[in-house]
Amino acid sequence: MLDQNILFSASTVHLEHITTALNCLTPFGLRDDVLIIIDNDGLSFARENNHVISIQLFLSKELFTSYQYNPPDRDPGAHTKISVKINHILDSISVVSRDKDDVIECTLSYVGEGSPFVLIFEDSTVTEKVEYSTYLTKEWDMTGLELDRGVVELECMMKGDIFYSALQDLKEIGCKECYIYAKARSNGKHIFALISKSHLGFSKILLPSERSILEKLETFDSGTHGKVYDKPVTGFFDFASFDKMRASAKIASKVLIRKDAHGLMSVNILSETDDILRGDSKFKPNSSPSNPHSSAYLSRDYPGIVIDISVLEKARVDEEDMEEAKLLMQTIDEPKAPPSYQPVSAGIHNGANPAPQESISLLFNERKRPAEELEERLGEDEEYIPATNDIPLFF
Amino acid sequence: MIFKANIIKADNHSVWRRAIQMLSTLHEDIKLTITNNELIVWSMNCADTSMSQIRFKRNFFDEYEFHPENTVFGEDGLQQVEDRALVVHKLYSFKTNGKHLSVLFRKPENDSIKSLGLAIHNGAACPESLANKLQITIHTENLMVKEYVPHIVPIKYDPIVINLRYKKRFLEVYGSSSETQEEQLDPRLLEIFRKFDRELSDSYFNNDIVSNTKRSRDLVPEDEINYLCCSIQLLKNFIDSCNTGATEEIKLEVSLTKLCLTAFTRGVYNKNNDILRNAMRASNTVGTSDLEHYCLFTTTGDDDQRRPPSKVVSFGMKDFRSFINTVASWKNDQEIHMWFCRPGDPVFLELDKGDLCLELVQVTSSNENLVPPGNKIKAQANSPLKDIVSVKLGSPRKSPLKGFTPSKKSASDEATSPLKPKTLFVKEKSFDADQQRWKNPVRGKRPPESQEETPKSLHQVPSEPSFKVQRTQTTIEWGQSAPEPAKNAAASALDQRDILKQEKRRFLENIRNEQEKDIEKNEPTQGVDEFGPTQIDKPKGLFD
Repeated sequence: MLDQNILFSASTVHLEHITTALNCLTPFGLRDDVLIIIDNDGLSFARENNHVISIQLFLSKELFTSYQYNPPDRDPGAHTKISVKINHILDSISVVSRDKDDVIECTLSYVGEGSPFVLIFEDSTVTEKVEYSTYLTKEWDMTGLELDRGVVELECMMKGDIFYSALQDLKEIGCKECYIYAKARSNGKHIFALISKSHLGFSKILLPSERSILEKLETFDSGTHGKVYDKPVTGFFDFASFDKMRASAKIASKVLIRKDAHGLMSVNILSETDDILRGDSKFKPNSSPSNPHSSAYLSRDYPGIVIDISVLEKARVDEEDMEEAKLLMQTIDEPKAPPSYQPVSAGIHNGANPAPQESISLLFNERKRPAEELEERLGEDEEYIPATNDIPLFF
Repeated sequence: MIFKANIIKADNHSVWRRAIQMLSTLHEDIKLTITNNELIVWSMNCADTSMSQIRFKRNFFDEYEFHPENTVFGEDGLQQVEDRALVVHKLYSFKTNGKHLSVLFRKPENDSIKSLGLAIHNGAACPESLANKLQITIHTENLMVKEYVPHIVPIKYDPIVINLRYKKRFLEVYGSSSETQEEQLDPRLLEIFRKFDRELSDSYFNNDIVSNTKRSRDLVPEDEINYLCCSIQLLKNFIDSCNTGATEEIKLEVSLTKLCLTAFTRGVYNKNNDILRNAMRASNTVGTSDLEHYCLFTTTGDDDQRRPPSKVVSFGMKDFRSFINTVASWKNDQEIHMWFCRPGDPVFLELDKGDLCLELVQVTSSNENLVPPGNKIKAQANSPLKDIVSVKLGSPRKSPLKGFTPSKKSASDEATSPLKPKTLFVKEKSFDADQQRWKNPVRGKRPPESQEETPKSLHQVPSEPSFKVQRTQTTIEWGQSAPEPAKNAAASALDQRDILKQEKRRFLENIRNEQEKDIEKNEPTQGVDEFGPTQIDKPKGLFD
C-alpha cells in the first residue's frame, strides 16, 4: 500500500540490521531525541551531544525493499526532518525482531508535519501499527562539529576490529582521558597509538603498523597542505565522550579517522555486517560529514551502515600529562637520536614550524601543536613553555 | 635498568595471570621481591591470618635480568641478606595494587598474549615520570602492543620463613628417625627429604633457621610436626563436593587409617539461645591408602590405647579454596605437601611445579580438644602407595600369560590384598574355577613330587615356546624362590621335539580351558570334555 502521494514510505525486512545500526546510537543518550532525516537516498539518524560530539548514521535506500520519498516540490535535494526518541524506535524494532522464525516486514511512513511517524510490522499472522509523536524542538546545529577540509592534519584508515579492541582495552583499564598519537613515516611503518590516562597511570596501546591493518596513514601540514613525515599528530580527548563511539566501532569493518587543525576528529565507520546478503559494494569514505543530505553515493549496491562521528578534543592540556604521554611513545624501533631542544617562541603558526622540532626524542620537546591550536582558536596570548632540561638523558 | 623479565611461553602467561589473580584476592596490595634466582610474589591478608607466596624461578621466564646495583630511584626497596654460608644477596622489593595488576594481565578477548614483559627502570638515566613504575609491555597475537606503567612503592622484604622452619623441623624429626625405623621408608620420601635439605641449604633466608649443631636428643612434644602429601585432586574433590563456597572453615583430621576433611560453619547464637545462623558441616573421608605420604607425630599416653591417635587442625576456608582452585587448574596431577604442628600453629601448604613454587600459610584455630600429651612420642612416616610401587618393581619377570591373566579374578584365599602376589597355579586338589593349571594332556598325571613343589617354584619362561628343554610341566607361579634345577633335570630324558609339541598343545589347551570356563560359568551343568579341569586321567597319546 504505497500511496504515491504519501510523503515518505519505506519497507524492509532487515530488522536485525536496523537494530544493530540503531544500537550505535544508544551511548549518545538512550532517552533522548534523535533526528531522522529523510531524503532521496535514504534515512539518516543524527544526534549531537553538548556541541562536543555528534553522530550521523546513514541507512541507504537499498536496504529497503521499497522506498518512496515524495517531497512536495519534487526537489531532489529536499529533505524532511523528524525528531523522535531513540528508545521508542529501538524498543519497537528490537522487540519485534526477536521472533526469528517468521519474516517480519516493517514499513515506515510519514505523511507530513503534524502527523505521527508510523511503523507497521507485519508477519504472517499479526499486523502491528505503532505511531510516534514527532516534534522538532531545535534546529540541527553543526557548528564546530564539521570537519574543515582545508586544514586536515591526519587521515588514517584502519580495520574496524583493531580499533574496537583498542577502545575496549581502554575501557577495561578504566581510562579517564585519552590521547591519539599518529605519526606517518616515510618507510611505511606508520605509528598509531592510543594513550590512556587512568587511575593506573599512563598506558599505551600501539596498533599494528602492518599495511593490512593500518591501511593508510597520512599526516599533512595544515599550512602548506602537503604531506609530511615524522611529524606526530596528537589529539587529547575526554574518554567519556570518546567512548561513545565504541558501540559503533564494534560493528565496524573499516574506520577512517581524520583530524583537522581545529581539534575536530571525525571518524567514519563503514559497517558491513554479516546479517544481510549483498553483492559488490564499494566503500566511499568521502561521504561528507558536514552535509548529510548530499547525494555523494554513487554505488548501486547497498554500502552497509555508514556512521560518521565527530568529536572535539579537549581544550586544556595538562603539560605534565603531555610529557608523560610523549615518554610513552619512546618506542623501540625509533632510532635513538640525541635529543634536540628547540625553543618555541610565541606566535609561530602551524605552517612555519620547522620539522626538526618534532624530533623523535619528544622528551625534551613540548608538544606545541594542541597548545597552538588552542591559541589559534581562542586567540589568547601564547604562553612560552620551556622544555625541561634538567632531566638526564634518557638514552 | 634494575630489572627486566620476559615471559613468552603461552602456558606461563596463564600461570602468571592466575597467580596474580589469586594473590589479589587476599589483599589489594601485592608485594614482589626480586632476587637473582627467583621472583617472589606474595600477599598477606588484612587480618594477618593468611599469607600466600609464589616463587617463580629464573627459568620460568624466558628472559630475566636483575641489576640491583643500578638503583638510583626507589632505594628503599634495595636490601641485602646474608645466608648461612655468609653469601650476601641483594634483593629489590616493592608493592603495587593487585587489582590493577590483575586487570592489566587479564586475557584479552579474541586475542592472546604473545609476550609479556616486566621492567623496572629506576636507574640513573630514568626520567622522573618513569621512576618507581613497573613497566609492563604486552605483545598480542593481533600485533597490538600495550604498555602500562602502574605505580610501585618500594618496601623492604621481611621474609616469612615458615617454610624453611617447618621443613627443618620436619627433617629433624622424621629424617633422623628414618634411620631408626625398622621398615624401609619409601625411596620417594627419602628423595623428598633430600630435596628439602637442598632447599634449606640453597635458600637465601636460612640464616636464622638452620642451626649448625645437629640435635641428637630425644623428641619432645614441642617438636611436633605432622606432614601430609597427597594428590591435588583429593583436595579439589573436597572443594567441589562439600559446598565450600558457603562454609567458613575447614577441619582436617588425619589418623593412621583415614583422612577426614570437613567444611563447616559454626552456628551463631545469641544470649537467649536463639539461632542467628545455623551450623553446617560437610565432610569427605578418604582412607590413608590414597595419600602419597603421611607422617604423624603421635604422643600417646599410656592409658589411651583404644583410639588410634589422630591429628586435627582447622583453619579458614576462603583462601584455602582459592589456592586449591588456582592450583588445580593446571592439568598435570600434582602433589601438594602440607605441614602442621599443634592446633594454633600455622598450617603450611606447598606445591612445587619445577619452575615455580606456590605456598599458602594459614593460622589455625587453637580451640581443638587437645589430646593430653603422653609420654611416648612416636614419629611415624608412612607411604601407603609404596606397596603398589614395590610390587611393580619386584616382578620383572615376563609371563606369557600376562595377556591372559583374567582380570575378573577375585581375591583367592591366599591373597589379602589385590596387589599382593599370589599363586597363579595351584595344586590339582583345589579346583577353583578362577585358577588355571598347566596340564600335560599327553603325559597324563603329573608326577607327584613335582606337584608338591610346583606351588613354590618359579620357572623362567621365555615368551616363545621354543626353548631349552631342561624342564617339564611348565607350571608358572608368582613366588619368592629361585627355580630349582632339580626339576629341569627330570625333563632331560625327554625328546626335544616331544617337548615342543607338548608345550604347544598345552598353550592351546590353556586358551581352550579359559573359553570353556567362561562357558562353564554360564552353563555350569554342561558336561566337561576331555581337557577340562575336572578330568583327572588324560588319554594317552601315541608317544607315551
